[in-house]
Amino acid sequence: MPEQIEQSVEVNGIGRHRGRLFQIRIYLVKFLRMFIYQNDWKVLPMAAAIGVIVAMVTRSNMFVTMEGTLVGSFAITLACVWNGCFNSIQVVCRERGIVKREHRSGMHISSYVCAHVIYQALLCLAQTILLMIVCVRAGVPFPKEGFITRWIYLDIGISAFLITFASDMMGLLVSSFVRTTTAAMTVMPLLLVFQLIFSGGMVALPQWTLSVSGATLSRYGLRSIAALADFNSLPAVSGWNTLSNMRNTEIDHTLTVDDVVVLLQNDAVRSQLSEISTPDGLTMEQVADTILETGMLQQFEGAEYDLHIKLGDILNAIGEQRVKEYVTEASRITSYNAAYEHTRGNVIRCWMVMIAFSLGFVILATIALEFIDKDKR
Amino acid sequence: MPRIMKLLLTLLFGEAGYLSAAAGVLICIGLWGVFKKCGVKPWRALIPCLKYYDLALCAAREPEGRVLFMTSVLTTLGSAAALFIPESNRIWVVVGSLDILVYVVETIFLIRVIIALLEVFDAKKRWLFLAIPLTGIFLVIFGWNRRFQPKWKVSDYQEQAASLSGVNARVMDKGLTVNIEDRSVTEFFKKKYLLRDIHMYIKPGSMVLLLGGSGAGKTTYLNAVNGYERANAKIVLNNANVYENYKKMQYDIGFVPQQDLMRGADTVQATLTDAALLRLPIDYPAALRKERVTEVMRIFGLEPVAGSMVSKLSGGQRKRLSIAMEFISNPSLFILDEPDSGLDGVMARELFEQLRNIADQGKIIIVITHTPDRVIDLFDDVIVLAKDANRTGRLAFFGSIDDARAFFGKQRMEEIVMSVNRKEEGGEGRADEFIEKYAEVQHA
Repeated sequence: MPEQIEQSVEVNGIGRHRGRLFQIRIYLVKFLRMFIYQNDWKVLPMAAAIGVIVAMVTRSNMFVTMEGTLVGSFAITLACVWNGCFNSIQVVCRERGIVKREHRSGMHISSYVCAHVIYQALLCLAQTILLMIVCVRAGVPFPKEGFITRWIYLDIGISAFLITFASDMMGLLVSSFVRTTTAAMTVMPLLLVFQLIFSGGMVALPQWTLSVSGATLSRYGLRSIAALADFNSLPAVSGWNTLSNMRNTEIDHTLTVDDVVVLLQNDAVRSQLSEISTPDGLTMEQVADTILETGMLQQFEGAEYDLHIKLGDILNAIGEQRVKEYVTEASRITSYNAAYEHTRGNVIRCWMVMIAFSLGFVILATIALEFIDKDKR
Repeated sequence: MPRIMKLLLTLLFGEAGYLSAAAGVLICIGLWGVFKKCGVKPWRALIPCLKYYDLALCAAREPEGRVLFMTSVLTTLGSAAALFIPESNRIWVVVGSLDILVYVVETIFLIRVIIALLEVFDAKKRWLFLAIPLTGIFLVIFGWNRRFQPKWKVSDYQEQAASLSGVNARVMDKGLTVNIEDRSVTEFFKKKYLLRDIHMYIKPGSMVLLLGGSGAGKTTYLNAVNGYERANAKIVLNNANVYENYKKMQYDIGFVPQQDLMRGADTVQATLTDAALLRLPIDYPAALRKERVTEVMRIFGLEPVAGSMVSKLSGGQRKRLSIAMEFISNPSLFILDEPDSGLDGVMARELFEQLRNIADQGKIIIVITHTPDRVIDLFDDVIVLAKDANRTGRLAFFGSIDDARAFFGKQRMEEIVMSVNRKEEGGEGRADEFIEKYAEVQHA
């Protein structure tokens, strides 16, 4: 053994060592190698499985109705946030001791974080592609034309990628802050619930929470997908569906002549009646005036009439198609959301915010790791 | 109740109600007695929030005491703020919710402190059932009933430690000169010395054993020597100041941590190649670098497992790989923190023989091990660190193995450690005696 050591070359000459850029390469290659050897590759089939669940929820109404699009956008956003967070939530804290040792041996924290960012970006890209493929194959009715690019798949894909990547960087930040995987997994549900609630997609938020909501990347992810789907131009069907489901509901009411008189004197009703004409060329409003002026109804004063009528009969009487069109349009106007405005500016703004979120998380993660030497032994 | 009265009660006792005030008064009375028994100034029981820190000191749970102090300050401030915010205001909801959160943490840490206090008073754990809901009554009983006496006092810590030697080691052209004045940290507004007054010169080619009981500052010493955690010190390696040239010197000092900190999902060859890329200078030719990796694998017997995953290696192989990663840059100073942990006698011997061979090339090897006697013949010198009366790591001895045996009057190194360990740790508690004695030797 001593002979072998005697042969060793004198290599400890204090010279210049590899800089940040080269170290990024070292770590990137290492992470890619470990992707194969370690269990990291399992996030890809998991992303596909999540894609199937999302497609099952979204395939019928996404891009077709307002409600379906909102649910679909929310489901895609949530899937992306989950994928991203899960990719990176443990990557740093599980090897914190190793990072500390390597930092002590000359590794630059910025190189380590940069290598992670590139590696995670590749992982997020692969997951997004899988998610899109699953959605397309499951028959989610994507629009024919793109909005920002020529292909809508690419538009939605960019949004999905940015949500996944920003969430991934959020996970990386948490992983850089906490010291154990247990702590990371304790924080993760809190983060997900925060993103889910404050995205504003499914829960109507009180006014004062809007500033908190502004700090969630899911909100901008959801906005970008809904804006790309032209949410505000789609029909809102929930109002009509509710009404239609109540078709067999019976209306029981006792009507008096006084009620009829009050009804005929109502301005809104009179306005409606003025649009209906009799075969004699009179409007129904004129007929109502005649009835009121001649006192025809006074002879029935005090009389009561019991009404038993189904909602469906009223719909038939008025004209189902007409009511449907009216309710759908009214619901669409009510559901209009300026945040989902179908403009290039809106979509690109959301993308930029998500990129800014990612950058912010990366910078904070680097700063947090720079203090790794302060870890208690 | 007027608001000013409520505020006063809140600041004094944490809450504004009469009942809480009564409970607060009981706590103060109880703490007065407990502090008196435990050697803490009794009037400190009257200081809001800080009294809980002192209670933790009585229970020998200082870290918990810090958390209790902070949570106590937060809940008091929260309750005080709530007095001025109308309930209809949403900030009241936020403050109230956070107050509950902090209160939960406070309760958990109070339970920890009380459990420790019961141990100090040698009382049964069932007292906890009284202590949690009725803390005041519990403290009054333990503070004023003569039946309950603590096993030790906080003032036991205020012993007079051995004096400082003040003798610096001479800086030589070759070898390692260590002159540590002190290494301190500030914890909870208090300066705490981890190491003091450590001076020595280690010549090249030495393999040095670092001995010391738990908490004696062995790892702190090593980190101070290699510049990773700087002390108020001057460390000179081969005529270069380690602290002033740390960026360059870190490649000339190899530190092998106690745990095998390597990525399990990578091969041995790739791990060493990456280590070489990081640790060798940029102008070191690629062909030589590959040769160096192969050579180091051969030296440490890793060639047969070059393509194996690190996670599949045996304990001994992993340890050798961990050392090889640092050895790749052929450092002048090689520091190893318990390299033989988890290894059987044969494997440990083999490993230390390899380290001896490295030292014989003119390198300095400093090793911490808890089982030194099985390999003591391989060492040249021994450093003995010990905790003085103030719990500060001090130098109790530095010299050859034979001199150490004569100095301590012990044959085995493990006996030397026992002689400087504190009595409550099962040792002989003679640390200060040897620190003083060694200081005299240095002066002579």
